[in-house]
Amino acid sequence: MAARPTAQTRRRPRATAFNEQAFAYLLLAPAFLLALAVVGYPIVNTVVTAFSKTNAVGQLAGPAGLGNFHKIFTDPIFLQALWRTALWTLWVVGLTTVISMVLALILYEDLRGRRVFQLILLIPWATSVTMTTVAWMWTINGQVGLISNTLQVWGWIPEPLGFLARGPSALVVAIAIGIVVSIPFTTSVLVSGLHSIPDEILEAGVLDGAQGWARFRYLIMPMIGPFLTITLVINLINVFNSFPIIWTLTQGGPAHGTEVVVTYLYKTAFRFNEFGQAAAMSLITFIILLVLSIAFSIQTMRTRLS
Amino acid sequence: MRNPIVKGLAYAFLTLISIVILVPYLIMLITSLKTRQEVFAFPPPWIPKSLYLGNFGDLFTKVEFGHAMLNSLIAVGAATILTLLIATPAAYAIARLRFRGRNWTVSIFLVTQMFKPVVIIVGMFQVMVFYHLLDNLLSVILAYATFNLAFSIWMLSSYFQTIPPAIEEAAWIDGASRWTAIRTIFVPMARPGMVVAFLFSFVAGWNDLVLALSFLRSSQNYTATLDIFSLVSGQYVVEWQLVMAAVLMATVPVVIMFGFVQRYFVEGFTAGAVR
Repeated sequence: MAARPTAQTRRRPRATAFNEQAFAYLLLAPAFLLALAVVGYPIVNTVVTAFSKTNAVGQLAGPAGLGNFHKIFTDPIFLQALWRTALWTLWVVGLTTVISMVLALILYEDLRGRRVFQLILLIPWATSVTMTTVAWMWTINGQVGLISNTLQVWGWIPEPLGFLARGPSALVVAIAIGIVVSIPFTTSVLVSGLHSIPDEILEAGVLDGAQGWARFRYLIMPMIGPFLTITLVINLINVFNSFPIIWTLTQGGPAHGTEVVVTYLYKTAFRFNEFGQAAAMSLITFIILLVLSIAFSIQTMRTRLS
Repeated sequence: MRNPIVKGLAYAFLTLISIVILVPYLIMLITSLKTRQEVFAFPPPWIPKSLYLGNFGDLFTKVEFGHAMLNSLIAVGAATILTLLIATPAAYAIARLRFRGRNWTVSIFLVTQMFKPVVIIVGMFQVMVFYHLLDNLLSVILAYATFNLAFSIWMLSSYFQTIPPAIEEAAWIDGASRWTAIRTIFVPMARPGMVVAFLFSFVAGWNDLVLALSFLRSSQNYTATLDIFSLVSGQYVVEWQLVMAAVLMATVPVVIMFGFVQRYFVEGFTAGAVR
């Protein structure tokens, strides 16, 4: 986004009373004001709250120093949630990336039925994550669910499905839903990445005998690197911050077995009324996101320079 | 892909993924067309005996889902219009005008993309208490508008950059004021970009859970997503046939809307990659 060339501005009559700079600020002012009032102020507020004592309705009640941070880092549930967030993010983003890459390579080929599959991908993409999760909950429901009862009638399973009754299996369900809702975006970006590769490169590769894995590793991978980076960054941020899947499915339960940082943060604020500790968790989340984003921009710049 | 084995594997993979994606939505459709007795029968029938449409009627008479849909429509509609009113001038400034701090402005709006609502929910809640907007649709309207701002400005400004400035400049030379040129020449040309931004903001707001969950308290203020959430979570007996009908009704219009604009969405993200 470099500044526009000055040729066009030189063409403009100098005598005009029009002040471009002031006009620009005027046009930007509403956006800035709204962002400041609805996002900027809360960010400052969150930081202040993280270092304050709070009462039951979230009002500040004097400074707390690092007290809130001390509390959350000695809280085993928070530490587990932090670790589980890392696992959740890595599993969802990792499997999404691998599956989407395979799908993109398939969809790049001129296969019959490709359009149909692209339409199918549209459904989980456009549907609210909350709604998709509700549909999944009903699908795997043990008491009256269609699949569970049918499998029981066939004698394939001895008792009703109970995925959500235990933490680990509930987390697996959450990860599966996370992957399903992340695949459409990731695949679409990767497909357009593949389409951006000039045909000559792949054709030259065919002449040089690059096939299968070698073609993928040495021709395709370097060319779609930037697209892959974009999907990784966006998926990492989205999945790390993802709230509705786990909240709808289990609200972090049973017994905190599916608790991730954002669900625990929400619970700490709105169930336990510990706004100071919740704000401290927010701050930790910021820092992690910031480090992730910086690491990625450095990585991207490095690949672009080389 | 001339190798038939590879081709077969590719189709098998596509089929598997399709099944995993589609089954929950198919079961949703089946369930919404069943009577309560059919849903709770054992063994449950896969195909409903008749196409029972009563659930869709019950949504309005029994659980007042129509009211929630209306709330969503009002909140998301107002937020989306607000987004466009504010994002369009800002995007114009970024695309067309030279001013000090331009690069800064672009980066600031990109950084706000990183802050998903849930991460600053504590601060946002306190601010809504401060503004006396708790349990008021205005709280989610402001929040949706703001969270859509960054993406809309970004998308609109890259769209505006594809409109040649020469056309506007020609109008200035013909004696039109800057403002007249914007109104009569730029805005009509920018309309497709604005439609896409509108649809995106709409879908994003429609799908929100966490903001509505935090700010709206009384059930007459619930949005559709929050209403469906409340029909499922913390209930002893979930009326699945009603829930599935509600999900279907709240989802289908949005999926169709999204179908129109999905292409631009990918282009928006990939434009940065090829540059």
